[in-house]
Amino acid sequence: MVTEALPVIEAFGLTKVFKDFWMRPRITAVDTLDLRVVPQQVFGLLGPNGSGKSTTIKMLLGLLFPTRGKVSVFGKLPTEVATKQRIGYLPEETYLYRYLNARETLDYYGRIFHLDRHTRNKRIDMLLEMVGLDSVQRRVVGEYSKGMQRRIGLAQALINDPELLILDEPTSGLDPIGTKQIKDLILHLRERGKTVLLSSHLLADVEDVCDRVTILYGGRKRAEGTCDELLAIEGTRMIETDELRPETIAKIEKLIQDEEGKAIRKVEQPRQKLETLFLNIVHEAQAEGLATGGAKAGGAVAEFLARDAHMPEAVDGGALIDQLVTVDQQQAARPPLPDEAKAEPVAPAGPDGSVLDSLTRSEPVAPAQDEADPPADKKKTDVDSTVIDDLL
Amino acid sequence: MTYNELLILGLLIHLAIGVWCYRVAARKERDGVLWFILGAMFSVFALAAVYLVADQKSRGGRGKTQTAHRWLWRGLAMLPALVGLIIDFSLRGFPTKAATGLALFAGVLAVYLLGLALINLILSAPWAPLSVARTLIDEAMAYRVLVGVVGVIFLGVVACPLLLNPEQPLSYRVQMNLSFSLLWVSLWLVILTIVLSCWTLSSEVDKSHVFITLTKPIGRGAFLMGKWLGIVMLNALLLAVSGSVIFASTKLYLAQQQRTIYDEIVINEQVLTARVPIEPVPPDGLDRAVEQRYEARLREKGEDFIAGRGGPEKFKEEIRQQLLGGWMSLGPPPPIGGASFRQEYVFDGLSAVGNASRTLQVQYKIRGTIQSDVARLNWYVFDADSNRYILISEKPRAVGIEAPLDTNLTLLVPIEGIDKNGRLELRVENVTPGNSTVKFVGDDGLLLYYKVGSFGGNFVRALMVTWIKLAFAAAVGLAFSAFLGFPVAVLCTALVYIVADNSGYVISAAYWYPREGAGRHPVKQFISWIGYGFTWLFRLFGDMQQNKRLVDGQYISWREMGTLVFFVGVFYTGFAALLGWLVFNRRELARVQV
Repeated sequence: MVTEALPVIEAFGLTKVFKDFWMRPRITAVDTLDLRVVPQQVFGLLGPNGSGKSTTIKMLLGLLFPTRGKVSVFGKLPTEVATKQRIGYLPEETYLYRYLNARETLDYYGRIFHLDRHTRNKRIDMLLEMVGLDSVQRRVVGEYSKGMQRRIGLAQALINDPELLILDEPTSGLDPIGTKQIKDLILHLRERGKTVLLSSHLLADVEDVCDRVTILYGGRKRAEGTCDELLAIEGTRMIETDELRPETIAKIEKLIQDEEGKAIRKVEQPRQKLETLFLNIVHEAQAEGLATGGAKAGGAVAEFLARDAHMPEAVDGGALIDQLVTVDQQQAARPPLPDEAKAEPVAPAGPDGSVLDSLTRSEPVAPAQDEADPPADKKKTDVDSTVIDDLL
Repeated sequence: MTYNELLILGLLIHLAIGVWCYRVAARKERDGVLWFILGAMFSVFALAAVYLVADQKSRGGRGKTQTAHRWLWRGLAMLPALVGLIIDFSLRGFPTKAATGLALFAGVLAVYLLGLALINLILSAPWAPLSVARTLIDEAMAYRVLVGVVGVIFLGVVACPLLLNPEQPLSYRVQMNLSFSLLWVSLWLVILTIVLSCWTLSSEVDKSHVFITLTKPIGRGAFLMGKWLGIVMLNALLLAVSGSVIFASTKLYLAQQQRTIYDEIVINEQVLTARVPIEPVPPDGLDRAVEQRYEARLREKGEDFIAGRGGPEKFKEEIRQQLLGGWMSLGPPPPIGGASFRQEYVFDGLSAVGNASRTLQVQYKIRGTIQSDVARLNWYVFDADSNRYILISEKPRAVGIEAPLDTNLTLLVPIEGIDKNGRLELRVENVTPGNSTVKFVGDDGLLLYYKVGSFGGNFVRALMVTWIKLAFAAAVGLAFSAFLGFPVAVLCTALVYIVADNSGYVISAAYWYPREGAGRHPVKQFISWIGYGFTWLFRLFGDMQQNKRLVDGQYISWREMGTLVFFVGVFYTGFAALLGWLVFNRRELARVQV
């Protein structure tokens, strides 16, 4: 018997009406919203400005009280201290103390989480390195650029190694490197069993990382589902291959005409993303050793965040890495298991038409994922940590 | 060890060595300077060791800021040595004004740094409210509030002696210096406390800092407590610094002045001391006289008259006060007047006076039916050994001691007048020329003061009373700013504090207000009730005028301290904090943003 995972966030009929001085209803910011976020899910709250995303998040955090409806986080009220112990929150703007430097800022929040000095200092070092602020850690936050403030804001949200990370417009004000890093971090955290609630109006961010998306407008839910469910264009199929000769394309078109009675709509050479180009240029500049006064490119994910949930923090990192490397090497050395062999990608077939056979073979349709279950087929499980590593 | 711990260690080491060297130098008069130099060298060596460790601890960072940080700590570690040297020099025979000023400045700096280090040490524990408190102090430091207030207080207190008139008696000048300084410090600390308590919470909400802090595992009550703790600790630090400045400046001012033996006695036993007052024992037969007069009036006027005067008990008390008033009056001197021109007053319970002081002080205030503004009195003390009254004044008997009317006057009485039963008997004669009667008036018309403690202890207790009152002001400020904006919260807090601190006057005003003119106006009566009820709550707060009592050399007892701690520090402050928490807990911290 499969036990359904308890939702991390659950809201029923959540409504928030802002009233004026005379207690007359003025604005309905959130209107009868139902939400259910399960563990290990990256859940996106999508919507234009003023759609009620931040208001919803503030109700989830206990900063606002619902006018109607119920909300629970980890099965408890959001205002309970025990609930807040498990949450990390990055607000839509940097609300940090301007007179504290980065280190003092993280130290302050670390103390609120009752972290002892040793753990605090260790985590602060790792987080500062991760967000690329270790070299400017003694400068007060008020002197930071907006992007740097977002980075330190992210670091404070992670100081407690949260089980639930709530990110409100996390990439706002960040350069593409920072944006990419945050997206990688989100995926990394999900891999480690964390739950992430992401609010954004930047569609690409949400699409890249979210397992499930709710689209809000005027405080109401307009659509919800996985990105595949919401974005799939019915009746269209795209095939991507290496460069083909015109004759081959012609043959393919003829085959499609013969078999399906349809024609190829478009044949084009794909372009790389501007983001990729930008990252490459920055990578080259850093390789040449050009100086910058701002934040450095971030480092690898902090060790305490990279741990599995069951792994104690006291475990020596170096020994752990050695152990993991040894295991990897052992796995690489042993012959593949039958299941793994099945999972191997299909090798390109020869020129005897088997390519076309494989292209025309109907693919099995993946069963619709139950929203209560943890996402089994994570579409972005290949976390691109090479970008961070390369930039360093 | 942290830098703070090292700094404290350094200061303590220096203090210990400094005290030891000073004592040795005092015993060995001729070799004193040598011992002093030796001690100073030890002191510097000890601090150098501390500095080296601190320097080593601060290594490992990167960048220019880290270098600056390291140099800052080097400087701080060496500072105690410098401070100690300056103090030692000024103590060891260089009492120039410059050295005195330097010593004062160095002492203040040392107290400030030591206090700051201690606070940082206390607040370094990983407990959420302490973290909030620490951030508040960081904020005060970052915005130069702390340095600014310390600077203003320091300058004000140091400038106080310049305002004094050198023609006035030394004891009066010392009192004025103390009074101005305490007023100056209290004023600034009250302003700081009210502004800071209202600012810190309202700015947290306005700037949305609470969005991050209160989504961490800290309750709103704990958050408020942290803010309150921060202000209270800041006040403790500032009071310690201010207290050091006032205490040192008072002593230094005194050291620089020419003094007679009389000045010495008056200052030490009347100003820089801790005394308690006692009233004269009512005359024998007072109760019987009251009963007799009551019975006579009852027979004469009837029961209705008694009932009209508030009943038997109230009427008896009225008679008692009349009789005591007569007893405290001195009729015209002979040949015009009769025997009532003189009166004896006995003070009891003086067995514990011992040899702590050389004198007792009679404080009195008189009014009289005389043509000039000055009465003349002769004071005698009864000597049990010779069984006769001895004139206290050195002046001729016929002239007496000048006693301006409606003025608090003091007369020194030798402690030899206390008999073996702990009783002291005074005789007062009215020798004012003409047909004049004089009378001791008010609750403090005739009191005898005797010493029960030291000025230093009293000074510390007075500062503690101020601290407790400021803690209450901080709680009120936080409570108001939990639901009001900064300017309104400041005004409301200031109003509560002013009313509380002046509750004695306000209660009196509230009593008399509806009684003005003919009849009682209902609106006035209503306002009076409101004012009376509100101020009645704070009467304990207003009754304790610690600065006035300190300046008058009046003892502030530990019992009074305990009462004040319970009512003001716990009950009033707790009530204000509870209200603040209830409001803040229900408050939505975010605003409409759609």
